[in-house]
Amino acid sequence: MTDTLDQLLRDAAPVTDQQVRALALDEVEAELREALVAERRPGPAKRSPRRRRSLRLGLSGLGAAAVAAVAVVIVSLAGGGEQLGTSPERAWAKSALRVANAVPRLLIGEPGWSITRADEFMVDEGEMTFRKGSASVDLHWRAGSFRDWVKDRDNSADELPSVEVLGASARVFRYQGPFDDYTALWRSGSYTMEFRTGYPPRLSLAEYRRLLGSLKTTGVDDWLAAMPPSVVLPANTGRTVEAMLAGIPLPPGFDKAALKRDAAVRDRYQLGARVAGAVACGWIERWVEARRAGDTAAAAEAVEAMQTSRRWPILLEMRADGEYPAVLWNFAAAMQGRARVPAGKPTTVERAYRPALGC
Amino acid sequence: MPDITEPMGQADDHLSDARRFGLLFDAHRRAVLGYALRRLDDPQDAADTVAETFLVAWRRLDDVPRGGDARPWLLGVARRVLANQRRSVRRHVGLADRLRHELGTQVVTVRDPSATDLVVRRALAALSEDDREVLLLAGWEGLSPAEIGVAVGVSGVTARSRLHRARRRLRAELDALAPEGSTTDGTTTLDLAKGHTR
Repeated sequence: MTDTLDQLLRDAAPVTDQQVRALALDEVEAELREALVAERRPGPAKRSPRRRRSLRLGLSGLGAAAVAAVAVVIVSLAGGGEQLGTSPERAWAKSALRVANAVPRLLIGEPGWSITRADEFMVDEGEMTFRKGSASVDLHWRAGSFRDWVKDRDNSADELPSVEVLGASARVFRYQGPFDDYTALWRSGSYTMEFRTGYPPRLSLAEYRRLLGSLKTTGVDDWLAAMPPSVVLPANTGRTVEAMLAGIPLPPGFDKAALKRDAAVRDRYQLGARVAGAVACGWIERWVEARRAGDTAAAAEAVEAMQTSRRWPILLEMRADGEYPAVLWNFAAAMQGRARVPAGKPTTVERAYRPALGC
Repeated sequence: MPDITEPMGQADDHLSDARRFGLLFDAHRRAVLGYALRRLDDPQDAADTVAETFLVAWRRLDDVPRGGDARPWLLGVARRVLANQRRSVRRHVGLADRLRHELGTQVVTVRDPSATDLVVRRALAALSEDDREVLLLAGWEGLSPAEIGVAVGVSGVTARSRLHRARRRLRAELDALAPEGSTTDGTTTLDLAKGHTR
């Protein structure tokens, strides 16, 4: 249980919040605050649009680039919609091509390895998981300082002899601990690449080094075609949304069409979060309003609908890949109980549901 | 002293920058200080972390999110400030001299770790920096996955997925260390049996 683990971590903290609060520092802090305000600021204040983050943003910010790029879009050009890149046999989503044309396109050269996860996928930073049987490795690309990454890994891992990867020397590390947990860093153009054993670690050092040395560069078509089938194609979004909603009670006025119009490409986890989140947000919103208006019947209807979320197939499917379902179920349980949810610190459903569920 | 998790209200939209910064500082100064104290060997160095973090906030006040995201945003800045401190590329922040002195004279009590704590710390040390950071942002700073996303600059969905993977890795490390941990003082039992499933 996550709670047990978090409690162990909390107990292991060297200093508690209570101890920090008890420090008699008010006077020197006030002095620091005044000194900071007196510091020069760069130019006249620029009023940039306020950034807004939510789970939905995960689908429109980094996540959107990430997932959109995984568009293994094999649609006919007559399909319209998103602009498409073309190759002799296939047409790719333009957003996918943008990433594919920018980043090092690597695949494992050893037979039997396939990409099973590519949910973080963008020009500046991305990662994907390769899997063969029960063994897996993660490949990352990051536009950033190679030296900083090496220094970081050097803090928690022991360096081993390097391996040549596509003409570059990859620095190999073994994480301290009881497992064969390895990682390697090398430069590829302006990118820092990392290749790390997945969980649970199932590779010997020799196997890991062989895989690392087998990495090969591929063309855009081959690389995009290797992406996992879990990726939802834009052309299929409507059908997939419909399937995800099947059997789920929808709040009155629920805008199914808006979900289907969504042109971005997402993997099933991200799309599932958007679909299940939209339903939950609708019900919770209705519940909040009903409670304010004293409409007990409408509030009870919303509570009842949210209790069915434990059986929503898309959430059951997503459960293995992340904690979105658990968070949503927390809200369902809280609506039935004292209307408080554990969100860092306990808070009310009403205050927490929008940022937590991406409403 | 405001509660360190007290969120900034929405009503401060029209306040002057100095006033808004003052509220931001007062609401979150101890959260940033706690973050630094838990990660630094010398408590005095935490003064520089606090000063430099809030100096960034003052200079980029337009970028600081309003509402509940301000705290994770500040902790994300503190995280980068600390990384610079570790790389010794930071400048000494003269503004924090008195705070530094006070932190040196006031004893910041560090609890004696139990045998279980030592096992947990060893397991944490075996993880990658990325895994450790998301776990500690959740466990020590009490951030939700969405807030961790703000602090480390990824979406909430991605943060949740990273946290999930990091927890699995930590459990694996704890499982491997548990027998050793349970006998460290002959009495401590590291109760991890319940932690095997999510």
